[in-house]
Amino acid sequence: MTATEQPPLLDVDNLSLAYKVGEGIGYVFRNLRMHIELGEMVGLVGESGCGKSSLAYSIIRLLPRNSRILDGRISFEGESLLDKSEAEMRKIRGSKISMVFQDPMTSLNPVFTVEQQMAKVIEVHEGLTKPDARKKVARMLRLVELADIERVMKSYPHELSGGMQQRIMIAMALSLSAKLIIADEPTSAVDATIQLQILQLLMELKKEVGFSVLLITHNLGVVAKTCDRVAVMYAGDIVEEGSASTVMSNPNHPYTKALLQSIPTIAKRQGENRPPLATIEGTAPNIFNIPQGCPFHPRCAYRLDICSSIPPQRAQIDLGHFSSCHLND
Amino acid sequence: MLSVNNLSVHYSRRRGFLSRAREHIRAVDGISFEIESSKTFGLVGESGAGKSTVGMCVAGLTRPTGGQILFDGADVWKLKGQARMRFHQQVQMIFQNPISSLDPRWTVKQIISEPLLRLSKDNERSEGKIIDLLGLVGLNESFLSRYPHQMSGGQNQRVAIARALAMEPRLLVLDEATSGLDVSVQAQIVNLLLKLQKELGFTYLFISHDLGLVSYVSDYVGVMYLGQIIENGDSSLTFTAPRHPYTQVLLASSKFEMDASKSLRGEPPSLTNVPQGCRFHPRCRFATEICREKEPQLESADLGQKVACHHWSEILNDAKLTA
Repeated sequence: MTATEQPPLLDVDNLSLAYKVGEGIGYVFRNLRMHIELGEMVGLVGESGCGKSSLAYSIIRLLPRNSRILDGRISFEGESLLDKSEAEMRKIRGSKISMVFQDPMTSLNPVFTVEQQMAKVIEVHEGLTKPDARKKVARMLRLVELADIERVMKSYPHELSGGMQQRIMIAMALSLSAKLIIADEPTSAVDATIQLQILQLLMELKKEVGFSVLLITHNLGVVAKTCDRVAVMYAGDIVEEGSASTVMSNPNHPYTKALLQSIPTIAKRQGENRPPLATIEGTAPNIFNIPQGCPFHPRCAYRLDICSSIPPQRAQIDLGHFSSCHLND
Repeated sequence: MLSVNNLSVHYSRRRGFLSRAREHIRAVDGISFEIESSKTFGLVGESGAGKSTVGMCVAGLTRPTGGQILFDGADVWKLKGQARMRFHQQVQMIFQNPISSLDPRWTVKQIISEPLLRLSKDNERSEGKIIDLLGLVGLNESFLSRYPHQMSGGQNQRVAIARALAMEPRLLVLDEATSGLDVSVQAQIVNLLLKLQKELGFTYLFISHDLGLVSYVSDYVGVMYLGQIIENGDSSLTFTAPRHPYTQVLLASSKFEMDASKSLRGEPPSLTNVPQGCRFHPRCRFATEICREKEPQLESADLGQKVACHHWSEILNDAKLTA
């Protein structure tokens, strides 16, 4: 654990974001707070449309033109990102804060070899000569445990497997000494066995090299085993936050509980006996009609009267474990 | 109800855009399994294992290059005329991306009318029947006039299921039918499918790469690797007592057990370059000489499941000793 006097690597405070579509204004998040310490892997879990990708794009300031950050602060290494110019952000993006996307095939340039793509980025950002950049590329590929580096460097992305492409993405993210890697569903497009290898790689490297990871995913299983902390998001609110093991084994918020209960597992099937999977009635709201009070209340099995009018406050349940629910009042 | 015997699907294609050399892709290579009436058979494996191809053959959409598929005792690929049409009515398929299997220019009403009109020529009763079908999948009348893009993934998948049910099928092939959906939506669809099976007696071939999902939904399961079934048996048994090294690794990976990746070496090989002997041997930590030379056949294991591995019992005994 880091000392409490040191500011977190990333600190998001009171962030509010809205999108304007036609005549309507949708509020993606309202007063969102979260932070990431150096060396942590934080899982941001939520279903489609909850705003997790929007949070990632807010951090690196790649939001679409019809969006507006209405309020709040995002600070990285103590500096406010929202105050930076586009030129300053361009220096940060890809170097200090790097993103790894879901489908590596769409992030790797198909007409350049691996060596050409990676070396170019290093040459431009760090001013190295071609031979020096190439040496660095080899070093980075070794770091991500790729075999047969010479061959990989001379290959085109489509000649390599999904798992290898994803490792290359991580190598690229690290080649400019990223302090924060935002991984947006990095393992959805690959198989279970490769998924595990990639996440293990990130876990080892973050300790070895010293960076943090914001892992955005809808897969709770991944988070439970690989992340230090987890933040559960629903309709733009972080409803529960805490260490991964605590939140997974002792969920407090009704949404977290419902999510965990809806996942089919091998254990849930006991021979002929098969309890139906718990489902959450209704559907998630879109950004144009977030319910009053607690956004989850219309679908909550435990709702009280107060839930439909007053938004719950974030409260501390335990050390490092927070939840926003009136049941805790 | 369904018997798959020694199914093979081999493709032959040019090695490259400008090359004349041909390569052979043995997508499915000698698969056999059976599905009993009103039961669910799960087919699990990683991408490229051949599961979708098997599903397509069973549904009569892809012609096998070898083996047979028997539905109610009749060879599916030898059926002609009326018998063939009846088969297609009785075996329906649900695909992974509901948006791409529903016509974007048709309303829900039109989408579900199409199969109904094929079955009977009675227009007047159709709307009532459509509403009944929507009710079966948990959608109300207001959905009749909606277009696919106006509905969520889960709702679209329900429409796809309603459409399949309109044909009054007996067997449904579900190919990654819930893969694109959020977990809570997936739970709703799964509960729906199981409820329909209980009430109406459907038989399912459930294809997925998600072990938790497959084990929960299926009665029996077949684990595929590189075009072959390497282990099959009762669903809860196969995943609580896996006998094949690949099944063991797959299971450990799905639970994110950290040692798993140490047991699995290398990259999954391509279907054009299938290893000699046991297909899994280059990545198996128990591989020996015999594994490199001789392809193991499915044989009965200790608890009633079938495994294709030369060393399954030694591995089991070792595990018992070290446990």
